[in-house]
Amino acid sequence: MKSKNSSRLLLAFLGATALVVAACGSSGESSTTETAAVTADTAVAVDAKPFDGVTLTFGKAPHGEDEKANWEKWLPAFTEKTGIKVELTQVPWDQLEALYTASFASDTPYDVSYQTSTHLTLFGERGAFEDMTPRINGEDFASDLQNFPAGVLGASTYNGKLYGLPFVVGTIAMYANLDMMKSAGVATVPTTEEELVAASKAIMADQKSKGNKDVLGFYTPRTVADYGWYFTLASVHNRGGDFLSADGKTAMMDSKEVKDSAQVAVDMICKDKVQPANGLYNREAAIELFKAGKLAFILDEPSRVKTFKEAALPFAWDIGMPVGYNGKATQFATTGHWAVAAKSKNADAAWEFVKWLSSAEFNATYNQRYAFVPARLDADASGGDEMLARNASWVSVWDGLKTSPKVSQLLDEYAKALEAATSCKTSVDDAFASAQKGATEALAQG
Amino acid sequence: MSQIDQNKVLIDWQELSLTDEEFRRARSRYKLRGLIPVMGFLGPFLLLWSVFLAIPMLWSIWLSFNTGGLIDEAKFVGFDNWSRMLSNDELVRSLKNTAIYVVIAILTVFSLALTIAGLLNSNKRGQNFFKVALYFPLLVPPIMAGMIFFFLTHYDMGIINLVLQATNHEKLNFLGDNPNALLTIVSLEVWRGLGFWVLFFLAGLQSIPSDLIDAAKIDGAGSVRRFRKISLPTLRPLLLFAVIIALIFNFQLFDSVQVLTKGGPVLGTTSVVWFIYKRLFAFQDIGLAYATSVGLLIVVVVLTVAAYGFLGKRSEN
Repeated sequence: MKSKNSSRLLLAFLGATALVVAACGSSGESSTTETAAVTADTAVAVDAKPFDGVTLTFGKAPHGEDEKANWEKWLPAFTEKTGIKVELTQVPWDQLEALYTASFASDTPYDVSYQTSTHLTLFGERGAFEDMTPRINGEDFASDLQNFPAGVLGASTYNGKLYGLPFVVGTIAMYANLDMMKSAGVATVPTTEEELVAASKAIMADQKSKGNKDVLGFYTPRTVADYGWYFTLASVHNRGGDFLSADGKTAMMDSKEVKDSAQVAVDMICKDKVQPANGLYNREAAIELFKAGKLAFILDEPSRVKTFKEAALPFAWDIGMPVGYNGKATQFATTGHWAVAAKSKNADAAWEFVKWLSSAEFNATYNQRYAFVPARLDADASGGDEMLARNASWVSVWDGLKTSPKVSQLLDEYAKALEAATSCKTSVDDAFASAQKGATEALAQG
Repeated sequence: MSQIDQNKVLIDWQELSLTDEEFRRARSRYKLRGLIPVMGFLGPFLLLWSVFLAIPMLWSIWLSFNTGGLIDEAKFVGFDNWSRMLSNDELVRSLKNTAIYVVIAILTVFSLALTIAGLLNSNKRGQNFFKVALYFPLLVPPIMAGMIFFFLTHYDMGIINLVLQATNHEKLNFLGDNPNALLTIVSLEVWRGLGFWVLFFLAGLQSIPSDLIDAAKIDGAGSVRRFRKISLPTLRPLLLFAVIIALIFNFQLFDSVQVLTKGGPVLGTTSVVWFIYKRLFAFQDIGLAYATSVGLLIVVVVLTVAAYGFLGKRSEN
């Protein structure tokens, strides 16, 4: 009996609550119709956010340990502006190809992803990305497009298709320990290969005379694992050569320019002994050597400028262009792009996101932290830093990697040969003959 | 009366008997009724086996005759991938490295494991502690194990080089020189696998009847002779299983190569699975990667059959 009463009370309460809610709802509607201004505001907001409620997936390999935290700060501004939510997945560099393959093979790939020149057409030519050419030639992008240098767009275009909008242009800087140079009587940062060897020898001798026998002259990665090709191909370009013909159809691994440039790298390790043998120090270990004042010169990306300044290195240092050859010094590196998945169900929202990512404002914000050179001319990423401004000016001599579907495999052949030759156990001729064979087979496969 | 009854019974039997068609149907029903519980028990396994093994294997064989097939559509190319595989210098090098690794790793880990298992079997004191201690490395994730060896063998900070330096010996370039790099990987894998094999062989040794050992002792057989003449022959079926399992696992060498060397220096540690990984993901050469995978499967099957033929016959004898 008691429980029957309780049930009736509960039903009565629920019924009354439902009536009250319904009444509130109708009064809400009527109050909205009374205030036309509010309705108008809402309409404007809806118009301004045509993608409201859309969620994009975004895959990117990080350029720094703090990148995820930074995206959490940067992305709300985009969501606020467009109503598009972005879910970031950080793709580790060493698993990048496997994870991207899995993503692009699925029906739900990352709507937007960051792609370097080595992967842009590797995945793009297999149908993973949409061709952005019609989008960049659209009216809504006309004012932006004029800020992208033709050379950068050209290096990122393959067979007339642009699978990603260039975002950053890589450069390489030579970091020099000025205190060591001064002590050894080396007046200026070396600009030629001969000067670099001479300066390294002078510094090592000077340091040895002071009891610092562990000090090394020069370091740059020459192994496959540390992307030796990335730091060495400028030297080939300085000689007017390349590892691939201009039409991209013939391997030129055994050309004179490629082999001469490799011989310089070999001599630094095997003959002049100004650089440590391969495998003793990997790239990160060598950076630590430089920071500890045990290395005079090192080639690395300009992102180290920020970290070296934050670390307040206990000696004077500076950056310079990597050394040239016969009066010619070029910059070689890859380009970073934003690509939209061909299977994306929100391709227009993804393009909206790409436009925001590529804007001069965001480019400057990103690169003031990670110190790459913006792919567009109207973005100043130096943030008043003289070293970074100098780095940005090197784009004028940029002769970077042209994207193609086979470029990863060809660079692997080049890197294996470079590693073999700089091991001091294989001749340059033998190493690069093998690379020529491998690259020719790769190209023949189509 | 009895005659009439008998006829009646005969007539009843005829009425009860089935026609051929009815009999066939009844037999099918009976068979089906017997099959249902069998399928009920086997079904889940067969489903998982099909989804995770049979279908992927058939799919791999199909892709080995195609280009593409992951991101883009597969395109049939016949035996093109197979002929490219046979003439690929890097694959030949990978196969050689893997074979060297498999032989050294299996011989080393089995010798050590048998010795330690023998010692533990004859000396019960502290047996449990050593079992846990030896098994522990297997619980360490492969990436972490790789990092431990990276710091052990580091040129400047590694403990091994610090000891060498302290004892006035030259430091070693463990990961940047051949054959040091491959031997470092062998050491890492032996360290990781030792505990498992010690427990495995210890279980085998403990199953040997003690009266056999006691009889041999009374006959004056020493410990080495007892091991050679009693323990080893008794362990042979177990050893056969161990060799087959070790072959299958070691031919899949990948983790330590990925963490420590990335196949270097100068392809000195490139394993077959590393080769497949690179072709598949970094170069998107899907056909060659799948052809090599199927080729590796064939090699492992052939070696398994050979091991069975060699050790299996001997254990039967």
